Amino acid sequence: MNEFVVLLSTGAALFSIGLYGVMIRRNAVLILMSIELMLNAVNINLITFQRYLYPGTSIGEVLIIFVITIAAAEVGLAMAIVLRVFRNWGTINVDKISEMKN
Amino acid sequence: MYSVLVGMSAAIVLISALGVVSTKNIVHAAIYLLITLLGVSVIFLLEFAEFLALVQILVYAGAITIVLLFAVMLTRDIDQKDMENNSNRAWMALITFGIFIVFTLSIWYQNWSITEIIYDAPNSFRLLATALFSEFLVPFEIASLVLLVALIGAVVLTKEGRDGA
Amino acid sequence: MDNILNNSWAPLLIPALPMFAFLIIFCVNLLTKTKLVAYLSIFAIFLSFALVIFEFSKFISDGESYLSLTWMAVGQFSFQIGYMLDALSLMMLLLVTSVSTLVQIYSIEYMKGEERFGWYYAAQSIFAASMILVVLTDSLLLLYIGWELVGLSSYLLIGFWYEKRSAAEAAKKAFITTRFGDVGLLIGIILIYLNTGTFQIHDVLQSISGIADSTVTIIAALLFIGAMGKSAQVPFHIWLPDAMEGPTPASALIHAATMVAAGVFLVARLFEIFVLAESIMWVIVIVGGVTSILAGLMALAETDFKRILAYSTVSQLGLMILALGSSGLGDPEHSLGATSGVFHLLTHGYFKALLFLTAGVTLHSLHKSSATIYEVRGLGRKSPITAGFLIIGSLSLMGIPPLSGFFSKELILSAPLAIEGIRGMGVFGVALLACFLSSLYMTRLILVVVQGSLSNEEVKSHAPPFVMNLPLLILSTISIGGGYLLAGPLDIVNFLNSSQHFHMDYVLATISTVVSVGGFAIGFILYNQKTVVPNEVLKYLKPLVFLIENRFFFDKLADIFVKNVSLATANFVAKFDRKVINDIFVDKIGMSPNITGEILRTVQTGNINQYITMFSVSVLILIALSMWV
Repeated sequence: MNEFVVLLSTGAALFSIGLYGVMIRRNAVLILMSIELMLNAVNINLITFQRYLYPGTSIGEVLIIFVITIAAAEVGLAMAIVLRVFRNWGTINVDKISEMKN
Repeated sequence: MYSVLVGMSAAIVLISALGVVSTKNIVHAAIYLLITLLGVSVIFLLEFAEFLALVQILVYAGAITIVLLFAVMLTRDIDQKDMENNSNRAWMALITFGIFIVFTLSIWYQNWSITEIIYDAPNSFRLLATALFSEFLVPFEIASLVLLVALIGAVVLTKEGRDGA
Repeated sequence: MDNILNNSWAPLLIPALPMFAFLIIFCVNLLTKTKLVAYLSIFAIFLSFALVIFEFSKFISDGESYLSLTWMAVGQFSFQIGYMLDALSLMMLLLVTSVSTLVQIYSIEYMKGEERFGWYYAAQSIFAASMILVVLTDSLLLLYIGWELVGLSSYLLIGFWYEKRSAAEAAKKAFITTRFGDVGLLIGIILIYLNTGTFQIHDVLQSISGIADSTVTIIAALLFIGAMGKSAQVPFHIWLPDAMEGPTPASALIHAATMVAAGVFLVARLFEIFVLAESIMWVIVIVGGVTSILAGLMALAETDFKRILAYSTVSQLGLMILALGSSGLGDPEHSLGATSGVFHLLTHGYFKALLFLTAGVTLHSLHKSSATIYEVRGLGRKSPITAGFLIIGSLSLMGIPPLSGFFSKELILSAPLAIEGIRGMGVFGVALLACFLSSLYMTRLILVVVQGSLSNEEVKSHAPPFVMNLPLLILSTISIGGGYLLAGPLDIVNFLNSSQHFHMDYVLATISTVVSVGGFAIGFILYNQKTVVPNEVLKYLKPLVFLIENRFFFDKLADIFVKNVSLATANFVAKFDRKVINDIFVDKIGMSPNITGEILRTVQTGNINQYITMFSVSVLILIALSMWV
């Protein structure tokens, strides 16, 4: 059981945990945190692949840069939306804001 | 030694991730998230991607976690009971576990052609920079555009005053 | 003109002319009271009659003519329209057109002042057209079409005064009862087509001998059921007495001379088929015999003037059917074929129409639409001319020589004698009994109606108008002399079967005369106003009288049958259709988009958690499938 497989499994496990968090959490912000977990799992995978399968290149790193960038942008926008929702509904419990009306 | 380090960092990452998804206190969840991010940064270091480790700490652990904490603070209910989780936990766990099994099995039963490990550390940063500004220039510019749009969008969305603006 | 007449499609005008008359009257105005519609209709039918005479003469010189045009062809099946002018159809055409013309002339006076005068003549025209179609066509399909149209016209005419509840009911009863028979006819025709591949009567009769015996028996049975319906044989006779609710001239035409003859005509036309099925021939004989006896008995007990005549019609039809059946069972070499029944069909048409029209005159002078014979008594003193016509018609029916009925009865009685052995004798006895009964009830009729003195209020009524008298005169002349002519100089037997001639069997003639006169005598004794029947005789006859007075319960049986079988089945099917097919299948299938939509709607909860869950599950399934499939 070499490190390669261990790291990939870690990525898979982190992804699954993030998925579980998205499915289970009711607070919108907590859901966003779980999404961050998933993105980090992707990053772990990318760097592992680069290091063990494509050693001389930097392709994994480049992709990770982009992922981090997009994640940052996404978090910014998502927060704006969450704040807006909070302003309108007074709560960010996703169960309570599941209808378009209200 | 190396394997031990890898194992330890993996353990940190996973345990704190579990903490993120199961704690009842939101702020605790944010702290756990911070620890996870730091753990991922350690993994980056172990993979000889030092720049990325830096960037991870700066952006993720630094900026994103702060933003999330801001959001947590700004959206608290006065009489907030600690957020209950969804009641279908068992089913969700099952599904998640299923996905994990699927991934893991596909990893383990694949024939990877792993090349020898090269300790090419000093050159990695230069390689990254070169690639970013030659091969991946267009995505780089577009990424900056995305950031700009996100910035403008965030400002527009949270503007007070006119309804529905 | 010559060109048109000599053209081979000229005979198609014979049914077409009354049909055009019908269409014109229908489109113009059904509620008109002007006599113009009557003149148009009479003109049409008279032209048809003239055409028939012309074709008759052509037949005598040129022989049979036959035309078949393809109306449409679909694959191997082609629908043919055409005519077949052989001896039988010409005879029937003569009967139909002549009686139609006379009745329509008579109706000018009888139906004067009617609200729906125009509609009456429209119905008369369409009846004439469809009856001509039945006898003229060479295609079984067209025959069936005409058959149904005749039934429709009869329904329209019986229910002419539909405001009266009894008339509407009678029309319904007639139509539905004959409908049962028509089903048999239709299935029989279909079976014929399946086995011979053609609807043309010509070809069917030629290829019928090649079909298996059992199939021919079934076909013959089904065809005979059709004949039974229209010709009012037991148990389908129940509609005919009730059909007297219609106007009397319509009764004269349809229910005496022509439509009820259609059944007899069918058997005669397709005689070769029936000959091949011996068991069915016996059924025919038995049905005919039973009908003639039962109807004769019922006529004895009936008091309504027109109903007595109706039962008499049923009885005479039974005799014709009996004769047809017997001639098929006898020795084929000497058999007269269908002639024995057809001769009586002809003479009966004329003298029955005469009787009905006479009844019409009587009722018309009383301004009623129906009356018992006791109400119209004293006719002899009130209107001797009418009484004279009545007596002529009755004597002809009784078969008193030398009137026409005598000669046709001769042929009818000779048919059973061709059957060998004791069975032939039995059938002959039944036929004789029927003749005796017919003498008996007709004597009763004329004695009650003609005798009687006027009470103080009644006055000698005016003679009936000329339009009514003329047809009566013509019909009586035919009733008197027609029989002799058709037996002698215009040998009808020779006309229909070219190898044979009319033989007068003098022994048979004596027997039949004795029976007829005997019936007259006994009737005279019984029904004269001055005789009294001893009580012991009455006691013996009581059960029979009970049966007869209830018309042998046929009406009630039919009622029970319709209610418990037909209506029950119809109700069951209707309920099944509504509850099972409609509610369960159609409705649910129609609702299935709704139901599917309802089920799928539950997916859209707006809950983010749920959405992600569903994503994950789908991804999981897809990955698993792609990896292990």
